[in-house]
Amino acid sequence: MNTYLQAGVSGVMIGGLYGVMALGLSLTWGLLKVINLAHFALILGSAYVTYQLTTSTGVDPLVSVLVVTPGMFAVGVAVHWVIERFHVDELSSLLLSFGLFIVAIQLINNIWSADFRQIEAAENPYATRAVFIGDIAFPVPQLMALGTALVFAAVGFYVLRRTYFGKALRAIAYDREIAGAYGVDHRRIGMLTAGLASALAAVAGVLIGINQAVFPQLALEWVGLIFTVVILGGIGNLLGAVAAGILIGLVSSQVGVAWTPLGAPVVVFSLLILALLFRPNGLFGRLGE
Amino acid sequence: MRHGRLAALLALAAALAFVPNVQDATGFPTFYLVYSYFLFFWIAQSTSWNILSGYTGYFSFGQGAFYGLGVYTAGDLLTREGINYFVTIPIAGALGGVLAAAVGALAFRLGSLRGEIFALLTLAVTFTLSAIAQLSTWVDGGQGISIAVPPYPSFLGEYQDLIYRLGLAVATLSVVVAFLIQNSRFGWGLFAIRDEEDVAEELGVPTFRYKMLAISVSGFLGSLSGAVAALQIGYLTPEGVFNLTVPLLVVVMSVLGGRRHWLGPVIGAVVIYSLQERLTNSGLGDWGQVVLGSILVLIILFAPEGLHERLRRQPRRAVASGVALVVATVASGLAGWGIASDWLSTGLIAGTAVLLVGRPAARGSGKRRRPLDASHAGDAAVP
Repeated sequence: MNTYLQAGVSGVMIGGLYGVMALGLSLTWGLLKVINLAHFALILGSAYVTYQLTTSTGVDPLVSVLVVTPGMFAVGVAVHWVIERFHVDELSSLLLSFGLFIVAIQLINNIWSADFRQIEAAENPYATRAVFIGDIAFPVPQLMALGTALVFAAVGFYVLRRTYFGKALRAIAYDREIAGAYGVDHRRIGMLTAGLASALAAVAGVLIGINQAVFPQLALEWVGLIFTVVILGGIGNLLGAVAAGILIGLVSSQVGVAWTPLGAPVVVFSLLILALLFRPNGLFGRLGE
Repeated sequence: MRHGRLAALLALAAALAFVPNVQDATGFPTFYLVYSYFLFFWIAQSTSWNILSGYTGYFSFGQGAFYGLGVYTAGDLLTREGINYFVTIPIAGALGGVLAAAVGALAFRLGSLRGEIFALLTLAVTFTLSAIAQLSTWVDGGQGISIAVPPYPSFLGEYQDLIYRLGLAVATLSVVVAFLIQNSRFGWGLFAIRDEEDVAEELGVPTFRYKMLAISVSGFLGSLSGAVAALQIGYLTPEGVFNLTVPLLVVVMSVLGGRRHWLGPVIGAVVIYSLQERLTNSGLGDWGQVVLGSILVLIILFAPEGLHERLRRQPRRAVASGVALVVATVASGLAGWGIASDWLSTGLIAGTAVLLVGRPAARGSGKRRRPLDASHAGDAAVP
């Protein structure tokens, strides 16, 4: 019984990490109609920068948030500027960002090689720490991921609901023309949103860097998983994305214990197929409705 | 005109079938046969993709599912059940058609499943098959399968000749099917679905039936080509077969070549594969993906209609780039030139690419552009 419980706890926390990774993707897809495959490359790139920074200078891995977040924000703004400039539609944005994705993965591969890279335990003050409740371990890096997911989802939900920026963004998502007629500047709001989504990728990357070893092919493994999370959560629904991430993490961990870890992808992708067929708006609806 | 083109296509294929005999007689490098096989493979795969995704506009990321099903059907039936290899090819094709029809039956029943949701559904199917291949010890189970040379009639020549000829046969079949579909009422219906599905339905196009037919044909051809690829690969692993190379490259090839014409994916496959092969052989393999990705980005931004459309408007450029590509390919295989020939051919291909893309057609080059309706006239002609 304890095995199941421990696996479940780990699953929920890993699921929180999936949630953080899915937030930015969900945001741009749902609200800007841009399917950004390059999001995964930004996450991976940020994880590598975190690794490099910590390994070369010995600073706390969390410090790299200060570097990668503004950096990725700029990248996101730049890419969105191009998308606006050339009037790239939703499907073409998928192809465009796919092109950027393979370029980025190959560059990462050329810089850091295809080997596994992990921050040394000596330089990673979080890696080996865990909080215990009874027999159940709560590793600190995973707790950080879950906490980040919950906080960001809540903040994002509030911003979308209550602030001018959020309302303008939703207005653009519903009808760009009409929103424009009411004085909403879709260019500025769009670029800001794209930048924020990329900054979320940067945060996810730092968490990945703290949590695990990275290698270039990792980004490909994320694609199916995180798309599943975004779709199950409802495209554009930030709370849904985190909830779906936790759900996927939980299901994967239980399948892993009860059957075999190899069985988890079969179950997850079968879930995705069912969701696409019967709940294409996700389990919780789109845009947080 | 139509029969003439078809006859020319078949004549070309028949002539190509004798290239291995010429090789036996003159002894030019086997490299050309392997290289040509891969061209045939990519032509077949991207044409298969285009029949579904280019013609109907239903974008698929699931070519890997059809391809992988074909590879593993042939591999498993051959090595585990000892079935005659030539029997496994049509079985693989049929299974591919059935899988495609199943995906279609689920997806096309639901009107909401368009655009990116359909694309992701097909991707999920690929991931699921991959996970099953990892899991099932009959399919693979993570051990890998090595394929021994199956017995085959001696008139087909050496092993590489056999693979070459099978590849050629499947590629020819794919291109002929794509050609016939494009020039039929069925193809016209598919184009109508791509342009405005609801209107097409209103006007009496049996959209569901046509989409089912298109996806089944696409799945059949994709798996057929996969069954032949099993021989060329030789050693199958789930990671190797179900990785994203096939689903992604067919998209890049077809988008580059042009999705609205049967010739588009053929052009795209030849250009992209040649380019990739050159980069790898010149020791620039590390940059191959960077180049591919950049091409995709540039094409989406500057020439979303694809090369075929562009070349049709500028026939002189088409001829020049075609010649450059042939010269580059021949140069690349000449033994003894060493690095020099690699760089020469890479340079030529790069030059070809510049020539092909050239100035953005949308802006500035108004002089030689014919009116749009004239250049599109051949697109959807009803027989």
